[in-house]
Amino acid sequence: MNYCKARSLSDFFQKASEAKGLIRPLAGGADIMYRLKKRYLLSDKLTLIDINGLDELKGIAERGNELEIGSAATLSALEEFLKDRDEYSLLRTALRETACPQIRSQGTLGGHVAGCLPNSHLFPVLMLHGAEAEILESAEEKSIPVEDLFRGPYHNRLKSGELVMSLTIPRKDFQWEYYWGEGSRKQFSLPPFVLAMAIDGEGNRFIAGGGPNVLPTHFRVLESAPSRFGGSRTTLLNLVKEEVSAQEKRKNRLTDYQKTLLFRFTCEMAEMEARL
Amino acid sequence: MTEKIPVRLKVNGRYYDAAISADASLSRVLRDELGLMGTKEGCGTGYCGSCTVLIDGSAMKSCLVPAVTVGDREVVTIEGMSSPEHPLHPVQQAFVDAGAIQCGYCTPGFVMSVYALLRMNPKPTDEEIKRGLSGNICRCTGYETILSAVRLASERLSSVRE
Repeated sequence: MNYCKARSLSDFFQKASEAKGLIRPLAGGADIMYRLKKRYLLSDKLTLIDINGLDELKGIAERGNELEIGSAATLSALEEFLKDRDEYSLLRTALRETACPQIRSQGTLGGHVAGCLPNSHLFPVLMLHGAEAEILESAEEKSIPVEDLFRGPYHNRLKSGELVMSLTIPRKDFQWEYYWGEGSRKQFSLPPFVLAMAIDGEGNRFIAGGGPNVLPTHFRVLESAPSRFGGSRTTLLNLVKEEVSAQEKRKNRLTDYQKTLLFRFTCEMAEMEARL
Repeated sequence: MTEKIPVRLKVNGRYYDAAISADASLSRVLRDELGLMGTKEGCGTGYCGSCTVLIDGSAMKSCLVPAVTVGDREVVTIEGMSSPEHPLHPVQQAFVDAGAIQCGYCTPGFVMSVYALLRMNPKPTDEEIKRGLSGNICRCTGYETILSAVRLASERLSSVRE
């Protein structure tokens, strides 16, 4: 394994272009250490480029109706920033549920998202907000929806040498929101399933979910017009079925167990919504 | 073979020079290279919390911290909690007085987490204590005595501050 420290962003890209084999930016390092120890990540031909010294990746700021978070900002720094910002309360709830205080102090948002953690509490909420990841490759910058980063558990769609610079999270004035980390085993802090649901001021419904055991990937069910939804459980179920078949067409085959759990949780969400 | 990287670590106010590999965890370096055996390594994969130390004042699980990344930072281990005048920190004393220790393997990690929790939130509710300690596991006590110890430490530290 090779290790080097980036002195600046251009230095990072320089080192990334010179490195051979697998390149991983190293910020908090919790996920990389875990995967090395479990041998999910093999140290041969791995180059870690330490980005801890790059302060430009650590900022958190609210610009207009968006939150901009540097990829090396820690989850606890974000939690602290959102302490009194109720417009991001769903994100705040998900952050509080994420892992444990020690991991939140170490883990970064960029690592969480680019690491494509299958047990992420945050992915569904980021998807509801329509969060985008700013990605830089040498001088080229692009922005993609966070769910498009997710290729599968621990696998992202980034090309070698690309770096997630920041995340932009648009503010959504949700009129109603619900977050559920189903069956969270506190001592391990791993939720088998996370579902986030919200209704905005125009009546649009948003649902997103994911989890390591229930679904092999994260998914965004829909952004539907109220007329399409109608608040009815059957309509909601049909829409979820549509999403499942769309996933299957994309070769993300779900097991019967996964589908059953997904439908069960969706029904419970719909019933809750109908009581509003 | 992974190359060794020279790193200067600041642990409990003292500087140590070490040559470590990039995949070495802080817990292994503390124990194997620096001889600070107070930090325990239980699972080694971030679940149990027995390896918790403070890095720049925040509690972190040292088994998941790459040691090469803490060169410019301040590390405090359980050994750094006591002083010649106070052999036990008030948090440690509260654990003893509340009987919150059985086998004791998880205790250093709990003490560091409680210290970090009470620094941020000097008078936590029971719910906040449970959340604050959600990253630490004890397989002996059943947690009730640990909760009592945190309440006791909170009271004692608050009275010292007042």
